[in-house]
Amino acid sequence: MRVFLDASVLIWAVERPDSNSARIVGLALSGKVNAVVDEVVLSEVARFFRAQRGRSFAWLYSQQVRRVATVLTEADCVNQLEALKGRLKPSDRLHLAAARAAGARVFIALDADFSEFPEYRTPQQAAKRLGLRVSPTDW
Amino acid sequence: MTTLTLRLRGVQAEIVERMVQAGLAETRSEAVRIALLQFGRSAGLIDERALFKALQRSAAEKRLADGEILQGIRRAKRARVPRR
Repeated sequence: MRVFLDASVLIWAVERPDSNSARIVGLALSGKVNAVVDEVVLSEVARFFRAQRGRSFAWLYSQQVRRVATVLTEADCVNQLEALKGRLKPSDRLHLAAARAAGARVFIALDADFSEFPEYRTPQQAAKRLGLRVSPTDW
Repeated sequence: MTTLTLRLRGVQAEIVERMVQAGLAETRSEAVRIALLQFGRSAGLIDERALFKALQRSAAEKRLADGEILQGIRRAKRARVPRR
């Protein structure tokens, strides 16, 4: 199964090893699900960890995400971006467009702005759907 | 834990210096640690999950509060370039 991972999922996964996000990223690392991200997600993850943990940490993790996930650029999802015009904040549109362009059936994020879209799941909902042990926190 | 004293010359010393100059590592010791992790991964000595656990352990040494993580995520997302 293909799943889109928002930056918040990738960040909580490192910061909270017992979180739903960590379990989902664990599945991606072992190849049991195919992770999809976009270039903006990668920048957000790198920016968070540069600020909180330093450049080397940010670099190592960004490299790992690049190895493990399919990374889409804006050019990969031009049609999907056009179809979503006016339905989301411009800054969020690329994420959903990338998920759809990659054929991801689940879009995992912690952002209520996506809640009207059928593929949206919080990490807790996604963990349940993927048959993982569910942690009580949303993330 | 293992403590090493290393003498680096030539290209190896240059790589370490460049890693520090580029800001990839704050110190030469950190540069060597990063290079080892990257080598371990590329040589197949550790898998992706082991590398990820090493990052989680490193983060746990200075645990952030939930509020700090949420605020950091908001900042990282705010700074992004707006899309069309």
